[in-house]
Amino acid sequence: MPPASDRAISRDTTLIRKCLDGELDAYGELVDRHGARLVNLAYMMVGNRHDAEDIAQDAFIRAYKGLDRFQMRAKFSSWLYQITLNLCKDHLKARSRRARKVGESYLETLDDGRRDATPRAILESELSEKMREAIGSLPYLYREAFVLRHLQGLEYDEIASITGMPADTVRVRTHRARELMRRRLAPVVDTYWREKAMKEKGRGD
Amino acid sequence: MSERRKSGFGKDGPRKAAGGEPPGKGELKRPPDPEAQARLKAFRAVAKTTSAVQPVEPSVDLKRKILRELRHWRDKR
Repeated sequence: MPPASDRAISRDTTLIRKCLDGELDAYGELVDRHGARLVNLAYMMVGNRHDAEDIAQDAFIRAYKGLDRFQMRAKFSSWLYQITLNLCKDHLKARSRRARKVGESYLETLDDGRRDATPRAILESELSEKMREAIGSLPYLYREAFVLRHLQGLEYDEIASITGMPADTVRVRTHRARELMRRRLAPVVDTYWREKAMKEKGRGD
Repeated sequence: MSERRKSGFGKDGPRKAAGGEPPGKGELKRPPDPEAQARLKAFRAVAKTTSAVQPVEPSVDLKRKILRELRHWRDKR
């Protein structure tokens, strides 16, 4: 039996062929398969959930319109990532032209649901928020490499083909991003693990 | 005789050869570098925290909006 990644690519290829034959519902399945990853990628790059959804929507629409140009030997997901990242770049450029700081809207306020959340859930959502904030503070090219490698879980070679950079450059950028994250997060992470341990100890007593 | 034996260090290492006691079980042969350890700890913490980033779920409308837009575009062509 072929590995799961090969089966996923083969399923994508089947669906793309159906789309090219005019079956729009097949494209709905492609949206189901890749939608969450695309929204998350855009969210990490632009830092605003609403904009991220718009970017993912735009990326899917552009991909469909250019489907006849898609080369079947490439990975559909990589192609979608490429389109999404280009849209993110355009979005950030337009935003900086509007003279708004990236950090301004980066940190979205926590959902009201936190009021009912357990202490552990609050801690985790605060940490998640701090992480997003730290990722948002990375220079764009480092952020791109870090998000694709560590949050999307892609291999260096795949990131290289998406970004059009040599794999070694991607490695260096990811390493530097980690270094910046480490410097920025060390105190936060330390506090988080200590508080978590105290909460867990408190529950055990 | 092996090169290792000939060197006089033997299996107990240079400390024994120098007249001292061989390192005990679980004892480190080299004193740890605190800076390197702190660095490693912080790196591991960042790696662990990366998995703490909570993914966002796309809205239920996303697919519907995309397909509606594409139907509209296809009908216009």
